[in-house]
Amino acid sequence: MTISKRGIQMVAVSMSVVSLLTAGSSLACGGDWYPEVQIDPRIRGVAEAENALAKGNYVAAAGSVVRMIPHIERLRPKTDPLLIRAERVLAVAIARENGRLALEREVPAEVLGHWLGNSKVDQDKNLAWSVGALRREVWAHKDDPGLMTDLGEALSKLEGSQDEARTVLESLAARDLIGSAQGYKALAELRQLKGDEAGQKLAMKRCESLASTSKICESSAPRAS
Amino acid sequence: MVARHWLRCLPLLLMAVVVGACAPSGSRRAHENRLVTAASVVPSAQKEFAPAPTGDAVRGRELVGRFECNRCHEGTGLGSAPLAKNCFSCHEQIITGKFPVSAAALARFRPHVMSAREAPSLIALGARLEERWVVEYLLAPRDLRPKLTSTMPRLALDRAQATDIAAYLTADGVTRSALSATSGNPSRGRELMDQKGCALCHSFSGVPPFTGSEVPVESEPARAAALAPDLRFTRDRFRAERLVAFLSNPKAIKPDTRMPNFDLTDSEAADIAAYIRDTPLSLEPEAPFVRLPLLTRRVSFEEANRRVFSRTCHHCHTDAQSAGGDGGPGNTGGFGFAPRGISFSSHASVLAGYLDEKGERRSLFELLPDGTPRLVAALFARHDEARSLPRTGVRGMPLGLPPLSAEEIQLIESWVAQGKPL
Repeated sequence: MTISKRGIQMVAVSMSVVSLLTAGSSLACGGDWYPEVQIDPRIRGVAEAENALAKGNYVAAAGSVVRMIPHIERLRPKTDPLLIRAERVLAVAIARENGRLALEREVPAEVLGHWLGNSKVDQDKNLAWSVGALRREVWAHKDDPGLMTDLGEALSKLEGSQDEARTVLESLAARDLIGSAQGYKALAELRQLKGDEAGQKLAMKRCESLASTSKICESSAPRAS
Repeated sequence: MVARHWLRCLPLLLMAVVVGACAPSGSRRAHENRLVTAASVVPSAQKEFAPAPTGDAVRGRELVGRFECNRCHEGTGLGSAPLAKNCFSCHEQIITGKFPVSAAALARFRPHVMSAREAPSLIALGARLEERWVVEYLLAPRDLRPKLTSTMPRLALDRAQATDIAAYLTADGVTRSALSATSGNPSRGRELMDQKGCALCHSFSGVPPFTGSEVPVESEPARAAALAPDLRFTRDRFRAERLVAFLSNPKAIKPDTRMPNFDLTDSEAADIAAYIRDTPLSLEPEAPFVRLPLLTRRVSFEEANRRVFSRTCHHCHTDAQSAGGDGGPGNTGGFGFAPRGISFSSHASVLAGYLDEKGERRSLFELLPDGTPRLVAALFARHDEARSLPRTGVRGMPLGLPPLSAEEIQLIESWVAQGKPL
């Protein structure tokens, strides 16, 4: 007995159809079907870094970001919201730590590189990166006073950028739109540099009223020279 | 998780908006057919009750779309708003367990949304209500339904727009009964209302309390009660002839009503209508809002957020990025309002202010001429609106919800006065 080629094809197609139909129920696989989900651990990590930043633990916040995304300096994220948030945390933390991230006990030196900020050159490099990252964000979200405040604060720490910092922060202050106690602190320091004692006191008062603790408004540690 | 789900559904929802906006409403068309049927059996002389519209119904329809009345109401003729923009669909899905989140999340959400399930439908508005009343109500809405949490929001409407919208919404007006309310016996009407148990669903401010038995509400009496208006407003809202017709057979006038049919005779309906319309009201003067003194203890953002912002403000003013691109009508725009860019998501975002008419950022805490910070003034203004005394230049907040308590406003005012501490 011979079986035609067409007959074999028909049987094959029928078997395929039957197997597809009977496999329609998840129970056919021996129980419920669960998709294999891989959760990006950075989602939680970035949220924790943001919380640490909000609580004033700047080094811890920066450390989380550097550990999770050691190559963040090269990424220049534009569309990934998670990376953009991580970059902002690091940029703000660097500014608030005056370009120094004392993370040598937590992060290997080869990962840390210039983030450690042991020299003034490295500190300036870090602050310049911070300003650059925040500028990109401000450019992308042109009307965000919170971001403008962070940029003004970072500019106030970068040598040669104080005039721009003052322009940014004074403009926000005039409209009561400075978004953080640290922003007012930076403004107070900038006004002091200009000899505006009354303005300095006013800004410091606003810093103290906005801050969760008075520690935030204390003078910054001097930068390494 | 809710936001992520919305984001995934966004393309479909957008498609639904386009399709929904273009397609004629089946329910409205069906209702119009019903009205035509009803009208055909009514002697033509009775149609004189329908008022001649003074507004432009065509423009009114366009305005109903612009002000997004279909976000909350059925029966606008525009179809339902998509899930992400619908005031109550999400709540209903959460309550019925259909919302695609975990059972634990559903259990957590459910208690918060039980009281906000629906708004009255606008079907057959013209078959019941006075067009003039609709205009005034749109301009200065007040709480008609004491058992319904949400209220009609005060939209940015001028009188001409309100008139056009009222003309459109009441364009289907017909009458059914020639009996006028004045031909009824109010005393008998009162007795009937006691017997029929109207007070189970309705309140009637300004009259002696009702007694009465159970009412055969078809299903979910609590939901029926939530939509039942305070009958003190009915004398202004309803035309007498329409009230009699509605009482005689509610579903014949408004097919989706939860009002049961009591099989009243025309005479009984006229008696009840006479009581509702003509009985003298003895209303207590509404107590004015009492501003509490500032708190002397420290108020943090955490407390202000926990007790007020996240409970009340966050729903309409949220972070657009984390809410699937829609920060709510109070941030990215809606209900005819331009995007205001207000977010109550964080301390920094509250300090970031709002976008004014020119699109420029201004502080939420700028002082108004009377020295009150704008945000606080908006909370006070809501109390005025609740008494039909809308303020010029300040829209009461929370929009479409009951005013904050004096204690809650005291908390926010104190937080602002203390310098908005973190």
